[in-house]
Amino acid sequence: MKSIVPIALVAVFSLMGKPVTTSETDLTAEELVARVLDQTRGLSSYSELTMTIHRPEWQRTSSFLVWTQGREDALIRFTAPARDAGLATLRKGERMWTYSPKIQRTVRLPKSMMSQDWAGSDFSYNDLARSDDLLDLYSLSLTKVDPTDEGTIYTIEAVPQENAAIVWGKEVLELRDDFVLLKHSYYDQDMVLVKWLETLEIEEFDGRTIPKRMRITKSEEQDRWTEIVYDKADFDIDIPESKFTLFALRDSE
Amino acid sequence: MLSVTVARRNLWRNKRRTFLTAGAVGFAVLLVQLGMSFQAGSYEPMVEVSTRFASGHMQIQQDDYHDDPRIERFVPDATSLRSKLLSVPIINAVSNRTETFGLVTKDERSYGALIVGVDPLVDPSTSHLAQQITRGLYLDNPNSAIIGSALARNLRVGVGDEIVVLSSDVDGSVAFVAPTVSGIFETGNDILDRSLVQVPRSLINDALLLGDGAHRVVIMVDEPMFSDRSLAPIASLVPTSASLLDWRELMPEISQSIRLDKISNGIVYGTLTVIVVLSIANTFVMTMFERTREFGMLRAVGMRNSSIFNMFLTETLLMWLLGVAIGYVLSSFALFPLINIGVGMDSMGMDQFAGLLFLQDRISPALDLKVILVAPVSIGIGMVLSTMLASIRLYRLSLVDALRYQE
Repeated sequence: MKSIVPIALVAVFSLMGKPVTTSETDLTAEELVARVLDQTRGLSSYSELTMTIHRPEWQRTSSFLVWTQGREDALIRFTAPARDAGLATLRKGERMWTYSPKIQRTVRLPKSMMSQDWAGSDFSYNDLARSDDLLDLYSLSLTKVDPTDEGTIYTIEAVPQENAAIVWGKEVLELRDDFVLLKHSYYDQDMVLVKWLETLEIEEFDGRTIPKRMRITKSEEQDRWTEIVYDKADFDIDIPESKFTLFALRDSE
Repeated sequence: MLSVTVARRNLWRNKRRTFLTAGAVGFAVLLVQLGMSFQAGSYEPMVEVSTRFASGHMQIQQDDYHDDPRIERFVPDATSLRSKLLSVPIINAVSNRTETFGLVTKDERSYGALIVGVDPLVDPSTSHLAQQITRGLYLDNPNSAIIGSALARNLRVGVGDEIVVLSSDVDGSVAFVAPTVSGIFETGNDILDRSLVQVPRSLINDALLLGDGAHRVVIMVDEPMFSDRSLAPIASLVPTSASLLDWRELMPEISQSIRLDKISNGIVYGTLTVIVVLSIANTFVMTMFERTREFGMLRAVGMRNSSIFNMFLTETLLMWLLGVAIGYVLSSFALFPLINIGVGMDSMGMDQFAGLLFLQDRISPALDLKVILVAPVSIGIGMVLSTMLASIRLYRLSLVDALRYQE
């Protein structure tokens, strides 16, 4: 099944494109979402992130690096904790591989695996893949425009088109007028809220305002959540094409 | 003693009727005994074989693992628990198993499978899987794996090939192992052959950060059809926050299919017994009519009704004994060869079903006290009741009416 992509994660893996000026009005829902997605279209990005997985019994923090190129290619490599260091995932279009330095083997991940949790987090492998699904497979409508002190907040409802192979009943996005995603909620076919991604901190990196800290929570298990925090992000940098190969996947340098 | 002699003479007066009635009793005994002995013969092997492939007779598991198997719900210090359990006299084998679901991959192919970690030197004492290896060897080194034949076919791996297993460790982090396939097993059970991989427990426990933990501490005892009482010495060794489960709980499908089989066969045997008893009751009632004048005469020469009833009852019991003897002779002719040889499941077209329910290729009937006694006793009770029913007439009829009775 084709993935549904939280726009925030799209942002995580590549934040590119021209900076958007604030307080643009008269935009349709499609244009608003396209603007958020546009930010992810560009040449390349490099970022350093920290991920915290919280469970009632324990909490675990890991760090990883992400390189992206265009819309298709991404390489994620863990740097901490020590036992996960070197563990890497490569995405090229729809295909994904993962590499374990411990056994020095690369495994091609089957499609059936894409809905599984990624690295024990509340994100799925699907969430790592990104695409224009929101624009291609959903009908979007702007349901609320809320002028606040911090700028206008747009609420957009995305309902999958009839023949789209999407598990969700609908998705609801809240964006700020500088195209920072504030919240992305997923509802099942009965329109019950299943999980949501919310932006907890916003900061400027390399000249762009992006969500710095985001948390994904499942509504049935609110004591279990995963948080990702940007420590560093560079945009439109030169990354050699060879970074996105199986050879580079194995190379822990 | 006199009444026995008289009863015997009375029975011999109408040999054909006596043998027909006794024959009906014998036939019913034969049928019920044959059926029940096959049932009894199939349950224990079914339990034995299925426990040998999957659950064992009993297991110690962390609480809630059975209902919601999560990797972090493991029994710690499984090795020391095992040695403690082995000191219990009725336990003859204990094996620690770790299990997790994982993705088994070979080149571009991958399939989901149940990955079971076992101690290779110990597990064959609780499991028949080692005997089902059709190619290669059982786990022969610390980085080996045995996989089901269908899974091997799907992955296109052979003995000596490396597979990569992808799973999650206790923290949810990605865990990898890359064992070499040392053997391929074929159990005849599609589910096992398609989705089971066994590796050494040390290998998987390291990768999953389980230490010396085990998800299932599998226990084999001397008598698989054990009662709850025999569990007491074992239950005292179960660590806190863990529980002891027996095969009835672990494999409810097996114990339920046994129960269903018992119920449906019970209905058949019950019906058969009732039909036989009713036909005997009919014979007795008819006999009472035929012998009305005889009974009248006996009363006329001074015999009391109760003595006549006793005589009649003795006849019944003799007839019952004769019938049961006929039944036993017939069923021993049928059963003893079958007990030694068994009946092939394939000859009944049930080999697929047998594989699914872990039955053996051949089933042999088994005799126990219940099998031997149920049919004779229930028919005997029925016959005594029939005698009482028929004898009501004896007490109702006056002496004069009885003497004047015309057939």
